[in-house]
Amino acid sequence: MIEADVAGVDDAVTAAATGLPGSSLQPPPESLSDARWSALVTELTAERLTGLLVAAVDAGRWPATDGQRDALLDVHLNVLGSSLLLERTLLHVVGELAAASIDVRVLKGVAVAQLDYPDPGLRAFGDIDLLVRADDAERLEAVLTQLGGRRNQPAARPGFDRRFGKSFTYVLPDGFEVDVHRTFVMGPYGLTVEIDDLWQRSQTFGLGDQTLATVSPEVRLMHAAYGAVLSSWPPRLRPRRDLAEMALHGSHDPDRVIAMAQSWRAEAVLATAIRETWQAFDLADVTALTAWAGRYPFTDHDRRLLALYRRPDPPYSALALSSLSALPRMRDRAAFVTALALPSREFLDRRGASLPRYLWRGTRRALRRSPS
Amino acid sequence: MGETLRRAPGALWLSTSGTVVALSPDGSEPAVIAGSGASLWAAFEQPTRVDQVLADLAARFRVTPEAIRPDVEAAIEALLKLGLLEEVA
Repeated sequence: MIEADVAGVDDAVTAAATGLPGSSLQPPPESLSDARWSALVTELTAERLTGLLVAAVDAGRWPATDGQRDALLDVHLNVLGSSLLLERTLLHVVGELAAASIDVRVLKGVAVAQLDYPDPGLRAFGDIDLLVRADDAERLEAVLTQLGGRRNQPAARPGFDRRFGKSFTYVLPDGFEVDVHRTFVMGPYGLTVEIDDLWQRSQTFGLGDQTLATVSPEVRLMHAAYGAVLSSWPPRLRPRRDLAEMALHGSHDPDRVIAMAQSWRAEAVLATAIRETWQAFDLADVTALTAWAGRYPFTDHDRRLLALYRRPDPPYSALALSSLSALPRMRDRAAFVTALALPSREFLDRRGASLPRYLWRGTRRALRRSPS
Repeated sequence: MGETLRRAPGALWLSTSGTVVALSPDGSEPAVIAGSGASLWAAFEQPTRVDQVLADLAARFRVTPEAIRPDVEAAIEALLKLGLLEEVA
């Protein structure tokens, strides 16, 4: 079973590469064993990329038995059904926010499926991601609460989210989650994102009979790069696949993407994302972005910052300490340290920790991680 | 069935492998529209008269409109009932 699971991950990368021009990953010459096929479908379902395998099987690029094909289609139809229910919830939420004059941008899954893939049925999604301006966050929370939503984690201190937070999550009565983002990632790389860049240019797409706004193609590509490098360890397949799709077929301006990475002090993130994505899918195509990524000279500082994120369960305290260097004003540093050193009682209660225990744990982790 | 029908405004749908998954504005469950039903869904992308759709589908499948009328009418009835199609006044 372990062998099938490992093969499932490798097969999932190959399946996800189908449809990417220039990939030399080869589908198997004949249909997989049922155990290996099942591991592949499980992996792709978790990554919400079953649509890519359906398309590959339909096009005759991936061999499958009739039974495997039918079972895959059943799984994918269920996935698409869930996506539609999420889309409807999204429309309802965005409608209520618009009625309260709260401007949002739709991020990630829904927008990426609609705008960056040739067919939105190829890319499913499991939650709703919205970008909100810090000044609107409190009113947005009031609207989500009015809709029956419940915040899954309180803020470290009142106002922390607005100034320093990455995102917070509300669970709606239908069980769907709304992730409300101020920026893209916690820690130092999140604090150097130029928030104004996220709002400067937007793109729209139609959903049902409504038009929704999302961020620019350049910001979507940067967001995918952050997801591919910083969001989880080991890196997830989905953001890499999104990044490859955008980098090869997207409508972004590569010079603008590189300039954005420079001004966000995230060139190492973009370069790593591009290099690793090209390597994972064994892509041959050279683009302006891959040429730039290949030339990017990583510094020791880059490596140290990346290493903070690139481990299982990155320690919050280490990310927090490193965040200080990204905050230029002493006043912000003081507020940040106060919020983390003296979190609200609600925040501690939800984490099942007392203040002394929280402080001890954080100090111990920080000491353990600090360079000797 | 000489009326003009259209997809319900606000209906959401995605397609894969010649199959459509659709959710009406008030529906609680997405519906799977497979086979010729998917062709029917495609035919009503714009408001269209039912007899026009019958004629188009008949030409496509190289049969007479009368040969497919019962199936098409039943499928349209089902889509109307699901709230995925609606009559244009």
